[in-house]
Amino acid sequence: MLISELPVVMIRSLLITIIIEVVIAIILGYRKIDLLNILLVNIITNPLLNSLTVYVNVQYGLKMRNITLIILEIVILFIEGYLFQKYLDRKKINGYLLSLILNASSFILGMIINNIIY
Amino acid sequence: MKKVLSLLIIVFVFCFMVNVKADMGPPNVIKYYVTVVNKSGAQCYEMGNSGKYEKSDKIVPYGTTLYVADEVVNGKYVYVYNDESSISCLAPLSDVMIKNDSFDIKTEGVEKIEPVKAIIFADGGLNLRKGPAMSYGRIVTIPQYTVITISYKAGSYWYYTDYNGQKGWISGINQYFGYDGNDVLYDNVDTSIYDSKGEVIGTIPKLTEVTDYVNVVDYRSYAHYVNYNGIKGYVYKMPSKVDGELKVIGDKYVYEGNKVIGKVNNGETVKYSIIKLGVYNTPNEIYSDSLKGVLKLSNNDDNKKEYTVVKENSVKKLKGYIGEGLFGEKKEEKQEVVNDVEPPVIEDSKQEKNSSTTELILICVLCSIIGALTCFVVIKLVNMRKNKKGDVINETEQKNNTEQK
Repeated sequence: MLISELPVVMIRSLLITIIIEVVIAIILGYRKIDLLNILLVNIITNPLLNSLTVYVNVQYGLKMRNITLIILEIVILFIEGYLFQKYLDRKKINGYLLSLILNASSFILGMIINNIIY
Repeated sequence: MKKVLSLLIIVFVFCFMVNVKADMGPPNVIKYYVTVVNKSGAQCYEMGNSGKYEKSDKIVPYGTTLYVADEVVNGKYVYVYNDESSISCLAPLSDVMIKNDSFDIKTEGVEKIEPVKAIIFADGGLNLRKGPAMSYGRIVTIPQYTVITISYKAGSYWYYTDYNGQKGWISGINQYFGYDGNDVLYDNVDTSIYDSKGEVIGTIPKLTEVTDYVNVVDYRSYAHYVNYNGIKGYVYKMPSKVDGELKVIGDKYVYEGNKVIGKVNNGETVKYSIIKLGVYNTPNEIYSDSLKGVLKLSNNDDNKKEYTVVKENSVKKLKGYIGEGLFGEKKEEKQEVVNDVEPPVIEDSKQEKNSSTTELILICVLCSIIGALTCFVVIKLVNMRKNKKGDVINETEQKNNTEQK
């Protein structure tokens, strides 16, 4: 990826993440305002994750980027979990657990899609 | 649910590890011998079905001598192979060592070239190495502006030289040295002159002859250092002047840019002064002074030749014409008088590139933060509105209940 392509890559990554997570959320029974909240939470976390990992990669190399990715993913799990717990109407699944399910799904499916395309 | 979670975590970690391995990328190229120095052997990484390198169960035994086909990958791996034992994989650089730390000049892939004078530009000098790769040991550092002679070439940018009796290899990547150019450059378009930082510092008007003093070596091999009306800098992709004649096969159009301005009939002979070779399947652009335009003619395919060259004279200054002061030789009286050419100063442009890269990334981070804060406010507003609606519904229900009571 050229650095000049970064904004496009970030938007693409956000869109794919949102699509995957919203679809999984619908399957899990979430509707309307809850879906909107899930979408907004992803807009909060996903671009930050991508831009920070690219920054670390460019400045400090691949090893540091992988460490940063792990740490940020864990932090995001808790942030999203807290936001889901606070703002989602449907309380059948614990917010933190929902965050883990959605993030794991988008990560795995995202990598599969990435491998298919690239 | 716990089982599903555990499975998800295992798959998550596995995909992550595969992703890390996947970043190894494809190998680059150079060839020399290495020996495996790790007593446990060198771990092989082979191309998997996913198209990425994965750890294989092959371990190259300690002491095995291998060809190393490729340059260092990701700073940590080299591509090794050995036909006798069918080894062909990536191996950790730390597990192998250059055999005898020497390189035989008769190695296949080394090309003898006509000896040519070269000058070192690199700040702090340029390392003379035992072989044509960064993995070879350093012999000595050749000081900046030293004039040397190069006589062999390996790969795209390694050159063999003799400095004060010490023989070794220098790297031409990143324009660290140049050699006597002496070409007459000429183009039918305006050409920019760049400084060592890549900034435009002047323009050579179209159809102006310029003599280069130095062909700057880099793996792209098309940089020239010129002095045009006192502006000293680099030009790229400027063709050499070639006075010649060609015969056209088939009726062909003459272009100015994309506009057709004339026509040449089949069999006509045309005098030309520039041939710009086309890349891939694009035709060559042949500029003719008399036609004042360009013929776009291909000659790559034997079955589809669009012209034949009748006569070709490269216009070159006499040998021995070197910019005054650059190589320390006296200029001949017959040559035109030129100003002193000061040795060019090459600055590492990597830092410049890095700072603009960092700026772009930081802008993206800043936009992400702003986006995140905005979304957070929106979430709050949406949920406030939802709660108010909920409160209104509750109030209405309470009223109804009271009325019913």
